[in-house]
Parts: sequence; structure tokens; C-alpha cells
Amino acid sequence: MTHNKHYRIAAADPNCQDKDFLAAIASDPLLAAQVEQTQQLDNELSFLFDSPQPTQLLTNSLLDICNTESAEPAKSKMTSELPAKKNNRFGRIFAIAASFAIAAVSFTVLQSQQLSHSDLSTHALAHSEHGASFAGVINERPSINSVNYRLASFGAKFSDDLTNLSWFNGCSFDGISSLHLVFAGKQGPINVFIVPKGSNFEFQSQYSNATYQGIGHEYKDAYMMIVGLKNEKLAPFQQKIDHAIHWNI
Amino acid sequence: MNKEQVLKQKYQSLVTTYQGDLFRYAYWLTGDRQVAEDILQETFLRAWRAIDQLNEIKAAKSWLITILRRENARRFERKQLQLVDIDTEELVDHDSDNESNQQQRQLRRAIMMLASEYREPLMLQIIAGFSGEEIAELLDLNKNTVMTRLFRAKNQLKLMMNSDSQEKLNDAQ
Repeated sequence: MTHNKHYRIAAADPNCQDKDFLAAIASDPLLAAQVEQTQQLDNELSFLFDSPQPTQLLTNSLLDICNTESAEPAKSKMTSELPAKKNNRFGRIFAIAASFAIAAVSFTVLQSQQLSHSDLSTHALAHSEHGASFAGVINERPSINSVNYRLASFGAKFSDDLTNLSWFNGCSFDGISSLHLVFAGKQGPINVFIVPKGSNFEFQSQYSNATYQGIGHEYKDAYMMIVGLKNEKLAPFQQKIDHAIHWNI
Repeated sequence: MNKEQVLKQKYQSLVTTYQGDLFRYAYWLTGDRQVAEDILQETFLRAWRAIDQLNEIKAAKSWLITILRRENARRFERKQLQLVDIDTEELVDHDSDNESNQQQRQLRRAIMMLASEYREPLMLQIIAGFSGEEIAELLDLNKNTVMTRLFRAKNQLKLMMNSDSQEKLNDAQ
């Protein structure tokens, strides 16, 4: 029973400092080997769990909390503190009318948003912003073979000299299955989107928003949209990736 | 130094000491950097507001983890999570030029496939360095249950990694 217990501890908590356990390790080479094996797994796990790191911006804002907030619980207004609702017929009619108005406005806004989504640059910027919190945060160092496996469906492949790729995955551009790759740039991540033609996309070769700038390149059967931070030099990167990609394999 | 200055110093030393571990814990708990940042902000805001209640600095880490876990639970109460629009199709990895990178990816995938009841004790052990007793106290479980979950988590990781390797070996043959 104790023997089994020690083996379970070795597999669960190899750094356990119980005297019985330490004595058992000293007298049982198989148990010692099990401890070593689990420690090795724990080391691999701790290496993996060691990222990501908080940004300096986050650290500063955490440190600043004590300067901007009072060290007492905020007194939130409870529902019971709100004035009692009056059973007002006019109020209900007004509320129903307002709901219709809100629904109509929402529908119009949604329609206009859907229209703007056929704009390639809007998609590229939105995907870059959305992906900033997870895409390439951990350098997964994907192999060129796994990227080319996905790229084959687009009729393309990358040559072996593709460097600094940290992450890739599929994404959707207005329902068109596309590929999102993240490279390590000099100023931050560089997002590359490979979007097959097949929808009436509006194409722009240059675009930007408050944070990002982008360039686009049109190939025979696909677009390549490259997005980086404002101070990133994208043109040399674009030349490099254009050199590395081969179409119609 | 007046009382407020002492509290501020205490708070800021908590941030500098524990923000890294707490951030990684939140990240691996939620799988989303932005959500992890939000949870960390809320956690430290609550910690600052209750800083008077922290008497023993030795208990600070488990105190902060408890606040963080509550914040994460509140997130589910407040709203359904936004769906990520990027597809989560498994990456197909036929070959790799670097065996250790491939192994790391396998391990990462295996961790994300663990049930949260196994993943969380594992994170508390590896990221925060808590002992079985401390994990039991934090998760309100008895120590044997924690040890069983850690044992199973690690066994599952080994099995998943071995089966991945075996599949690749079979593919190569």
C-alpha cells in the first residue's frame, strides 16, 4: 500500500519533501527513476508555462492602481436603492416604440458593417487587432512543412528560407477560408493574410488605422495582405516574402 | 511614512513580485491574452481595495490566486464569452525540422486538451509552485484528491504525447 502510495506521489509531486517518501527514494532505484522522469516532465511544463510575460504597459497600469483608486471597496448601487418603477402605460408604449427604433437602427448598422467587410483592408486590420492578444504571443515555431500543407490548398508553397514565422492558423475573410501567418518583425508582430480570390473584394495596396499600417499585393489567384505596426518597414518584408512564396505548385 | 504610503508600498511590492505568475496563470486558465490582462487588472484592483485585510505577506500569493479565480468565475456569470473568429482547426504537422519545437507544440496541445479539473492543479503546481496541501486549500479539495488529479493530469499528458509520437512513427513507416 505504502509502496504504491510512494509511486503515486512520485508521478504527481516528485518534489515532495515528506521524510517517508525521501527515505523510500533512497532505497528504491525504480522509485528514484520515476521521480526523475516526472521531474523531467515538470521541467518541460515549466518551460512551456513560462510565457507569455506581462507587457510593461500592463505592469505600469497595475502599479498605478494604488494612485488612482481608493483603498476601500467601491460602494455599488444596489437594485433596491433605485427608485421604484411606476406602472405607467405611456412608458410601456414608449418603450415598445423605442425597441422598434433601436432594432431598425441596429439592422442598418449591421448592413453597413457587412458591406464594409468585403473590403480586404478592413478585414486585414480587424484580424490583426483581434489576433494581437493570442496570435504569435507564444512563438510556436511552426515547421515549413505544416505551413505548406495548409498553403497547398491555395496553390502555393513557401521555400525553405522562410524565417521568423511564429504562428499560423486559418481565418475567414467574409466567409472565404484564408490563411493568417504571424512573423516576428523589428517593431512587433507582422501579420500576413493569404486570401484566395473568389469574392468581390475591394483591394487596396496601402491602408492604415490608428495602430497599424498595411500593404497589399495581388497575385493571379490570391491576395496577400501584410499588416504591421505603424513604425514597421513593411516594403522590405514584402519583397522577402514575395521571393519566398511560389504559386501554382 | 504615513499609513497610506505603507499600504501603497505593500501593494506595489505585491505587483512586482506576483504579477508575472498571476498573468501566466490567468493566460493558461483562459487561453486569451486580453482576457488575462483584464482579469489581472480586476484582481489587483480588488487586492488594493482589500489590502488592509492581508496581514501575513507569506499568504499573499494564495490570497491573490483566490481573488483571481473568483474574478474568472465572475466573468462567466457576467456574460457568455465572445467567440474567436479564427478557426481552431488542428494544425497538421507532417514533419518538423526541429524535434524539440514539435514536442513543445504537442505538449501545449495536450495541456489544452486536459479537463480543467486536471489542468488547474497542474498550473498551480508548476506556475505558482504550490504544494499538494496548498493546492488542496486553494481549490477546497482534500489533499488525496489533488494528488490523484495531478497524477492523472501528468499520466494523460504522457499518454497523449506518446500516442502522438506513435502516430507520427506509423505515418512515417
